[in-house]
Amino acid sequence: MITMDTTSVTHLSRRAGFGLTLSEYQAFRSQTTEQLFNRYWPEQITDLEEPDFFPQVRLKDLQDPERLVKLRQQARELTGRVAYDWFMRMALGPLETQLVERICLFWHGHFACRIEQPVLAVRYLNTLRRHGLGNFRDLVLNIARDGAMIRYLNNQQNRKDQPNENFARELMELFTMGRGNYSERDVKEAARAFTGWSTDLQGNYIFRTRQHDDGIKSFLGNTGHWNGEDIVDIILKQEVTAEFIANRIYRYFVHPTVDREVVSAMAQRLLATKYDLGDLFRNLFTSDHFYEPHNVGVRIKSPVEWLAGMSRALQTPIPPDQGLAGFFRLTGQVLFNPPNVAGWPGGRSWVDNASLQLRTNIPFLALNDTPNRNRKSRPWEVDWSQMTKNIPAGQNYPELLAAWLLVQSSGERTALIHFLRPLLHAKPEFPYWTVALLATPEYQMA
Amino acid sequence: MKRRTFLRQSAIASTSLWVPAFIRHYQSERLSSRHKKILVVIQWSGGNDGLNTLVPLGQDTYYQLRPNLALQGEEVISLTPELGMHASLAPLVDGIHQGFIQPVNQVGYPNPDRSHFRSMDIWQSASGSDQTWSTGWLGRYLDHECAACSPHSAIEVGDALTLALKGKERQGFVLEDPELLQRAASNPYLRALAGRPVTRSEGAVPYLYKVMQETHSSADLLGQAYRAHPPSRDFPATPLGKQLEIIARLILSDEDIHIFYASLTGFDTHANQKPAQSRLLKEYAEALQIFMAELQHHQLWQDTLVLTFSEFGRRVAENASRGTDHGAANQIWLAGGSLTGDPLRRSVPDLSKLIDGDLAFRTDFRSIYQAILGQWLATDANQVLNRDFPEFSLHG
Repeated sequence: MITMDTTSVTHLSRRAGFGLTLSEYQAFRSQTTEQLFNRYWPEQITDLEEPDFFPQVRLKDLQDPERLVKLRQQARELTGRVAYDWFMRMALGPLETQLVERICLFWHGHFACRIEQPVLAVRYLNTLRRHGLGNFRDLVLNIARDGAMIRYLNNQQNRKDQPNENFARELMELFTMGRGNYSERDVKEAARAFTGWSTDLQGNYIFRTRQHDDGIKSFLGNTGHWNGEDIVDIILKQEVTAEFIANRIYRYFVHPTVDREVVSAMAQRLLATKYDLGDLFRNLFTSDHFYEPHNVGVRIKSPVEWLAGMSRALQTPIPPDQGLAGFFRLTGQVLFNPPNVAGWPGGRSWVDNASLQLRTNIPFLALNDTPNRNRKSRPWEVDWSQMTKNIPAGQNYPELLAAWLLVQSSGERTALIHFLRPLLHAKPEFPYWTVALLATPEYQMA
Repeated sequence: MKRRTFLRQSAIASTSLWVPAFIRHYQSERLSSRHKKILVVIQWSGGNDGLNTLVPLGQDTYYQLRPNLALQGEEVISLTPELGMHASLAPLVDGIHQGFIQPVNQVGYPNPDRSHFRSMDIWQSASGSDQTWSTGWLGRYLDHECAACSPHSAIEVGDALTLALKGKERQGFVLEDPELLQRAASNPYLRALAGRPVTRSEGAVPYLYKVMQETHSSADLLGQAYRAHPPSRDFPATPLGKQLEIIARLILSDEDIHIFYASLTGFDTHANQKPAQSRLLKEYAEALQIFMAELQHHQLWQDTLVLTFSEFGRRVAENASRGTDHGAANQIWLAGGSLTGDPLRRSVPDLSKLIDGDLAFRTDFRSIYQAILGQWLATDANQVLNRDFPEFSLHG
């Protein structure tokens, strides 16, 4: 019998990680959320290894469109590989690395960047890994010096004699302050301060002194020979920045509609700790507010977290075939390929007739007799006997499965099972119940 | 209000959404005008080379900057002494002479962006180039105008919903093919689950159930409607031909469906442009010509407007690979039975004032959206576009 409040444990697992495996669930359901959180908290975060592929485009290649196309294709494929590896870490990585992957996914949506070079994708991800739970100032500065971001927002074209405002504008509008808190003049002045923040041919950050405008700038009421670092410091001094970041974090991790009081307290905490993100996240995930019932199960899972969670639940890798690429494209979340610099809008924008239909049909790939076999996807090879071996005889497994997989309260879960039972009448086995629950609208929620 | 219009509107008002709408079209089909005008958007993805689509015959710059690519001899059809057209578009010549097809040249926006993704975003969301919006112009139209429409009142023929059709509250309905859609909706477990009575009305889960339910109803309805309306002529067996055939058949099925979205991709012709563009324009012209004939046959051409656009044009100068690189302003094509005036009055590009080697824009594309929203779809364009743009008229 489940007597503990297992909802809190699964709630934490869905927000700080990608859900639990059945055996993790069985182990943690009788423990406190703090015990689980301590498992999530990483002792150390290691860098990912950089792939050695970087297309060497020689001058004569520019005359050879076929070779260019081939190089690009190769780069895209390898970037897809980096994305797939990341996805599999979310899906099957140990508990200890779940929070890091989740935080990176969050920051990837915040510092949204389209990346086509595998090396740049890994470096970008390493920036998020190193600083995503560290200090926000380091995170912003490293993003400002990130090869992928510099290229994406054209900062290599931001030169003293011909400033390009793209990066400076998005830095303020989307990454730190939010619209309405600065003037067009501030954007221009910030752009000047970031002139010369560029990359070499390999995408390494370099500061091009001769392209940098060292003149006096007046930015948000502060006047001086500001460079990019000064601009970030001035931005971080603004209370609106702390509010903006707290707001983003709250909407992603707690509730799509903010609680102003809580967000304001989070912002004050950021200011007091000089933007210590680790402190903020730890505090958030251990706060009573986070576990209040109205914050549970109110988030529509993004396609990546949805599929990673399912793969984790079934302890089955999703094969990196065409079908997988298709799921992400068709459900609207391709890693390293956000729709634009504002990232994925999330919420109901994940849902349209086709994406939801795909989400509800896909779990049937876990059954070998699926009536809806996707042409491009192999069925998943789920080891059902491994999953069921720790279930005590006589256990009411529909109840167990629902408590493990779904966000709903126990009353709502019972009502759902009651409705489903006759539909599954002919096939009441464990695999069918699992798939039946994974295919519900309820499972789309976190 | 005319008596007929009144009768038709009250008939529609009294028909529930869930009564198969393809049945009621038999009453309305013979009427000359629909209660909602039809808009079909065709997206040319990749950035079509407008200057080799509509050719500025008399302008030396064109020939100087395009020693290899300038269209010559049989590659070009002369429409007027100043204006030629790519020979692959020959199927559209009659439509142009009848005034039904009207290209508008030098359409764009301030501070153009040369990235495919970004510029497509700008065209689909109708934002400025310094704004990032997460909803599309037709999605916001649905939000504003279509709160009570059926869930499939705007249909994209494709595999994933495009930004243009994403609103804040409402979305377009996407399908590759009505038969495929129905097959994908055939899982008996999911059908039964979709029918689960939902007690609460607020919140995301009831919303998901609603979408699921609507998807199944729409799949059935559209599948049946599609089969009930075979086309009266053969559509070309090309991707766009197939998309426009689906649209032509669904137009007949339900008066509520009035926004359609189709696309044709491959216009990013950096190298060896001529054969690729020639094939694409041929595909476009053949499909559009049959589509027009089919709608004329059903007396719906008067009620239809087709907008074709691409995310940008290409540079005026050719590159070293017999192709062209990303440029700025471009042409859009309007087609429909209600357009009036000289069809070529806005078609000749002016190469005398290039900006940074690109065509300058004369018309903001949002002026055209504004005209379509206000003059054609009869909605408050300002609500959708969030500001006013200089006037553009669909009539001449």
